[in-house]
Order: sequence, then C-alpha cells, then structure tokens
Amino acid sequence: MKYLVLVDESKGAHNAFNMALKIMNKEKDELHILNVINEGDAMENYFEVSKNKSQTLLENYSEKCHKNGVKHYNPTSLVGDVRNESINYCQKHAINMIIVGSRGMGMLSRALLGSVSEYIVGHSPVSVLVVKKSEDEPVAMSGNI
Amino acid sequence: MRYMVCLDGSEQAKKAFDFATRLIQKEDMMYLVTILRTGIYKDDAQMMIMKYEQSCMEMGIPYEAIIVEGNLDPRDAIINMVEKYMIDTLVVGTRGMSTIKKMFLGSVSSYCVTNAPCDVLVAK
Repeated sequence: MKYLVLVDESKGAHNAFNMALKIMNKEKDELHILNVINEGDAMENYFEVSKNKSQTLLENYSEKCHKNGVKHYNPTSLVGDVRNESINYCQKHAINMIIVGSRGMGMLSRALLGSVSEYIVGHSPVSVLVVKKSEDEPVAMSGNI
Repeated sequence: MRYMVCLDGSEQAKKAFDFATRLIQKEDMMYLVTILRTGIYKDDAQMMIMKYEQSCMEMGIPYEAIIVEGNLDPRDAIINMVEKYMIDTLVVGTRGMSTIKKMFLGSVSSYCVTNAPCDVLVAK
C-alpha cells in the first residue's frame, strides 16, 4: 500500500503521521510525506524562508520515519495550492490512501473540520483517513461546542 | 484498534468494508453496524450483515455485528454506536443507497466525517 500524509507544522499533521506509522506495514508499504508551500508565501522575500521551513519540516519527519523503522519513505516539498497539489500527487504516484489531520494551522478552533481536510475528503480520487485523535489529548465528544 | 464499518447493503459500503480489511492487523476488532429504518426489515438487514460476518470469519477477523433498531436518524445512531463501543476508526463509503451524485459525499458520510469523535476513513 502507498500512503500519503499531508504535513505542515500543525499538531494535526503530527497526529496524522503517527496514525500512518500505526497502520502501515513498515517493511512493505510506502509512506509519502508531502508539504505544500502556499503560493502566496512563496513570493519574493519569503520564498527562502518558506523553503527552509519546508525542508526542516520534512527532515524532521524523515528522521521519524527512519527512527520508526519505515523502509520506504518519500518526503516532498511543493509550491502551490495544497488541495490541488495533493490530489495531483496521488494520481502521479498511485497512492492508495491519503491521511490528513482534521485541522491544520490557522484554523478557527471552533471548526470541527478544516477546509483543506474537507476538500480532500470530497475531491480525493482515493480513500481518505481523517485523523482527529492524538495520543495524549482526548477528542471532545461530538455535538456540543 | 477498533474499527466500525457502516453497512446499508450498498456497493459503497462493501467498498468501505473491503478497504478496512486491508488495514486490519492482529489484535484489531471489526464492528459491523447497520441502522434499521422504516421500510427495511430486520430479517433483510440480518441477511445483509451475515455476509459480512462470514467474510470476517473467513479472514480470521474478530467481529461483532450490531443492528440498531428504533428508526433513528442514521447520523445520530452511528455516532452513538461509536461512543458506545469506543471506536478508534469509523469507516464509511462516499455514499450509500442514494443515487444523488451531485454531492461529493453523502449526507451520512459527510456528517460522520465532521462530527464523529474518532478518526474517520472515507473509502473510495
């Protein structure tokens, strides 16, 4: 199986990644890790900063893969709209399942599901796992917010 | 890990079940749930779910079948079952028996993705 985890600096991405480690076969399966730099951030002066941030982020995740015994992992950094780039990546690399956190960065804390996650669930050509739970914090019960 | 697959006799639900079986590891548990509504007889539901119980048995997957009576709204019923059985991952198809293709995701699946207090796998 080929898994794609979308990462950014959020805790959601962290949870998504940990879930990938849990369900994958570390010997046989492929773990693709994608960080998409927002086109806006990539403009002019901020490009170097964004690129470096992305690089560091992916290095951290690669380190985690290695430490956890993942044999086949592939970190990638792309510039563009995360929604389009992730869908394209899936098709290009014959991904079987996308794993996303339920909320990323900059989300209203009251939103139950981030707009990116929602988009991916609706538009992905492959199965999507939305990870809400993290190891340490319990998830709020449904309904009342 | 405790998985719960929502079944309604649709092809989409079957896809969801098949996909879930690919992820199941040792020590995992599969809960098969179907929500009874008016027009659906308990016997038919039992027959439908029996096929899935059979598949689980053949694959050596520990399972439990749950038929929820009371003509509840499937959205609420599913969330209740997730909480009752302390489910880790809820597995749904993109849509059930409805043939309305306008929406990307059926109303039940969509509700589950947003409101379930656990991880949700939308199988396509």
